[in-house]
Amino acid sequence: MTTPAAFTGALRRLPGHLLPALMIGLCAFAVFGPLGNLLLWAFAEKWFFPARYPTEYGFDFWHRVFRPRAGAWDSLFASVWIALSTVLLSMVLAVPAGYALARLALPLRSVIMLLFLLPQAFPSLPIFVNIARMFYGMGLNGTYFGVVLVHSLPGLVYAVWIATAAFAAVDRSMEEAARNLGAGPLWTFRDITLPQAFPGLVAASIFVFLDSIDEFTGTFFVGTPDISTLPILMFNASMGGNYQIAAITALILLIPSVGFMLVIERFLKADVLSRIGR
Amino acid sequence: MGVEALALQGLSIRLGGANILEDLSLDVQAGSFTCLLGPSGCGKTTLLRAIAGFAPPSSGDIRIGARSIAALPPEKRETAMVFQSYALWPHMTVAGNLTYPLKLRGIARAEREARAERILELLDLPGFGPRRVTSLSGGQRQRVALGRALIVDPPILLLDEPLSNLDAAIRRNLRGELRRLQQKLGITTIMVTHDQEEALSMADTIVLMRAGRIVQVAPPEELYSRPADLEAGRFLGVDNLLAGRPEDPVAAATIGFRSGDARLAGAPGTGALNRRGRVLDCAYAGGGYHLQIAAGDEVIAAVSGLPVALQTEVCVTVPAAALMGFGTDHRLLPRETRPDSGATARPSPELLSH
Repeated sequence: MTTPAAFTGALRRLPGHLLPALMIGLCAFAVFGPLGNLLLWAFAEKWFFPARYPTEYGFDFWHRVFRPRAGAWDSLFASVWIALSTVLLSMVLAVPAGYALARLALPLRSVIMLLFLLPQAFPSLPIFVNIARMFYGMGLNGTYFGVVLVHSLPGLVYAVWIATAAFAAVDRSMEEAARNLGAGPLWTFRDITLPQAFPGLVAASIFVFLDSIDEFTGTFFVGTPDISTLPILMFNASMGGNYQIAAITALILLIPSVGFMLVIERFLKADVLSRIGR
Repeated sequence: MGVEALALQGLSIRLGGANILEDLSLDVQAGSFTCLLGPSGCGKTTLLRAIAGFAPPSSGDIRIGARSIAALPPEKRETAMVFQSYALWPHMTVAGNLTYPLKLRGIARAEREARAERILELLDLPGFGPRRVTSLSGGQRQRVALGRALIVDPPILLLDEPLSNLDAAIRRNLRGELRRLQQKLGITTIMVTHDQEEALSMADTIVLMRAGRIVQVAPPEELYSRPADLEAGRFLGVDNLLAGRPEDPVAAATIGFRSGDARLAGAPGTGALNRRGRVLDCAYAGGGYHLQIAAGDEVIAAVSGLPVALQTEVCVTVPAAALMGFGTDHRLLPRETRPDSGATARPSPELLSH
């Protein structure tokens, strides 16, 4: 039996336990609420106001999405293809840039790194509208290359920052040891620097990939209507009130994201990330 | 590759207006063990890096044997260096680290592996080839780094404070090991150190450096007993520097000696430096007592086998052989004891002119 004293004691301790639990619950709801809604919509056959939950479940809309004519497959391939190209372009530029920045004296490096952040600092809409205008003049609108270029703009920020951190983490005396024992600069880079920076470069690629596969605004202004990626398909479906198709597209979009998240776990070391901007 | 000599001729390195190294000239004999000794910031590591090709000289020449290497990139110099941090490549195994320099030289795999085996035997690390570098202890890493440098059979071996990251006991062991290995291979070796004991026990020749200049080049015994100037003396443990008096056996502005050579005596010794004073402090220091003795306005450090009560009047005596005379310009005076250490003797004119 609980004495009154023990009871009030427990009552006083209650907020201490309740508050964290409440916070965790709210966070979980914020994260999983929309996802749950998404799942409901993906499998809802009929869901009309004022019903609280779908009145009929089924795979009917999945068949519709994956019909050859619907273009979901094309959009998926276009998305992955654009994302991979963006990764390639970003990394080709970020590896030499990151290496140079990592070996630069500190004040100058910080300035250049900040410059790289500038495109992110401005609202993206005006930037993309102007890029679309410029690309129109160059005939890049509606081409894969144009979309890849637009995706590389934010992609480069991740790529250069993380690559710089990865290269800065490579002990300089290890490179000097290789030079000292007979390796030229290129051999040293290939055999010593690159293998050690590799996990960081993989992490950078993953960020660029995820950013590209998710990108909407740039693709919308530069790519449509000739190029349709999954986010564009989703947007069109939602605008047309077709929530089932939008939900299903969103779920498809999760596949590459979750897949690459799993790869991140393997390659991303905390010590690599902690050196960013140092 | 064979044993070759190294020569520096008028080597200077300027960095942003500051002279890191100033007009250094040095001849290192083939097959010798030379230590660059000096306090931190004296330029000894920069000199080593200049020889390896990582610090471009602003003027002067570096020669190995007959050929100049000053203009060559590091990879063409054939100077094998052991870094202070060892700089082993963590993404390779021990054998991978050892054989990489051979791979660069286009040596076949079988030969590479055989040579790695041999060098591991030499370094007393048999069977360590497949191990990861990160699983090795500090001393083992140090030996692998040494092996990686030696495997290419270089004409010059450069060691940048190779023992400073190790425990005292391992360091003492490796000191002897490194010295024996160097003598066995007969490789011309230059080692940077700030530890005078290490330099004295390992080197054939010690190059004492200070503020980007060479102060003295001498064998260990000579450097220890005849440091070139006051500051060099202080760096080498000459802890007593007293103003010379006319009755002293050495005529000099300043007379230096180590506390270990100073004894307490009942009466002033003949032909020795004598000072009377009062004991200020007496501290046990393992095997003996360290004394601080006030003599006039000077404080003398001395050792004693027995404890001495504070404020005791004592006589400190130092044999003439342990004394170093320094002139008014702080430079060491040539060794010369007065024929009679009486009060009437005068410094010779030659000594005064310093």
